[in-house]
Amino acid sequence: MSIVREILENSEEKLFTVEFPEIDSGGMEKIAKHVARIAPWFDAANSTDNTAAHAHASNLSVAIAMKMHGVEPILQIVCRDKNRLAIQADLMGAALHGISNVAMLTGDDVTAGDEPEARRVFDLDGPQAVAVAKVLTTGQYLSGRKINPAPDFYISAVENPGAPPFDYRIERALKKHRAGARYLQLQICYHPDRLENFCRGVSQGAPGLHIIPTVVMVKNEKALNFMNDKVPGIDIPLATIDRVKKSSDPSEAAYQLVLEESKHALSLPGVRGLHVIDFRRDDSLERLMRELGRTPKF
Amino acid sequence: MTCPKTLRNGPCGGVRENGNCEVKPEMQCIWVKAYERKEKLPLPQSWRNHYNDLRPPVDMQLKGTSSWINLLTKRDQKRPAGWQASFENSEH
Ligand code: SF4
Repeated sequence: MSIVREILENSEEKLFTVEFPEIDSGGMEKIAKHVARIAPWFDAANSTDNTAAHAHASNLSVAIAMKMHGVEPILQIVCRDKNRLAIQADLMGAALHGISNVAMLTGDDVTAGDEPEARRVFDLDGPQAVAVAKVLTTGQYLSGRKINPAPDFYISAVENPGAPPFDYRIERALKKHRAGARYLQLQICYHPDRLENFCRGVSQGAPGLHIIPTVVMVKNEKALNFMNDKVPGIDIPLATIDRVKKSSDPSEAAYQLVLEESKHALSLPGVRGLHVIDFRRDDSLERLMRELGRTPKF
Repeated sequence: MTCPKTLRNGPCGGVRENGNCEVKPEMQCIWVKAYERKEKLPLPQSWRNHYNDLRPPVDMQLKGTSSWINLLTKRDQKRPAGWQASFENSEH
């Protein structure tokens, strides 16, 4: 059973997902601490796969830990560090543990991380990885070797509406849909016009492809500058950074920015929910949820 | 010039604001370049559409072999069986 699928396919509700913080230390207590913060507000959480090309506790291990703590995982699988055998192994490991939400991504290059000397893999790319997950659901490995019964994945992909060529991003999203993706979690986008065009195009081209835009909660302009300079594919207009930087209360200005982005994103065609990355880790997560009309589950 | 990530279904989400490559900032993303070309050239629509084909994973066994011979013998059209069963009729 996937709550994510239930909400997107069988209800009119909005889906709220969150990025589970990466785990380096602290064991299960750390997991429990993060769960206590996010569980009341979100339907599911993404377990990342060496996010930003930095090594962490593995995607599947964190997804299993989340599930043990009662949070529905969305398992991210990235093509940078794993060949097609390892990717199928991740998928089948997920199925073994009853994890059906899988998000298939190309991933940042190794040069974006702290071990740029590593070998990059990219044996598959994002659209192919989506297709491979889909192949497994037909009861066979990529090789044709049978799997009985077939695993039941609810597959998603990621697309970046803010990176050139902007018109083609819509087409590329539709290609991932043809490959087997049922919904998209978008890359963070600080250009409302690009996000709007993308959502309009996708909702016209593939009405059944649900869109979940992403917002990032930051405390000040330093975090915005960091993303602008260091995160591949993210461009933040100077005016947006200045709005936070020149405010008498940058923390509040940064909060208002994310609130505005969230409301805008949720108003767009094809949008069925919101994905939140929280770098603030303070009480503004609860504030944002309440101001978006969410009530805690417990 | 090739894609540093060797993507067959690019461009990736890392393309820079100026259209250059995430990995090699001094180089235009090859998928952006190909996109601009196919938009500009007077090509039949069916050719243009090929840009968005879902291309299958690369057969690493062909590395270092002659692409001409593989083309003539159709060796380069062999797909993994699982892929073929799911995607063979839609695109190539
Ligand atoms: S930006 Fe373009 S050329 Fe560079 S890795 Fe991504 S798809 Fe390949």
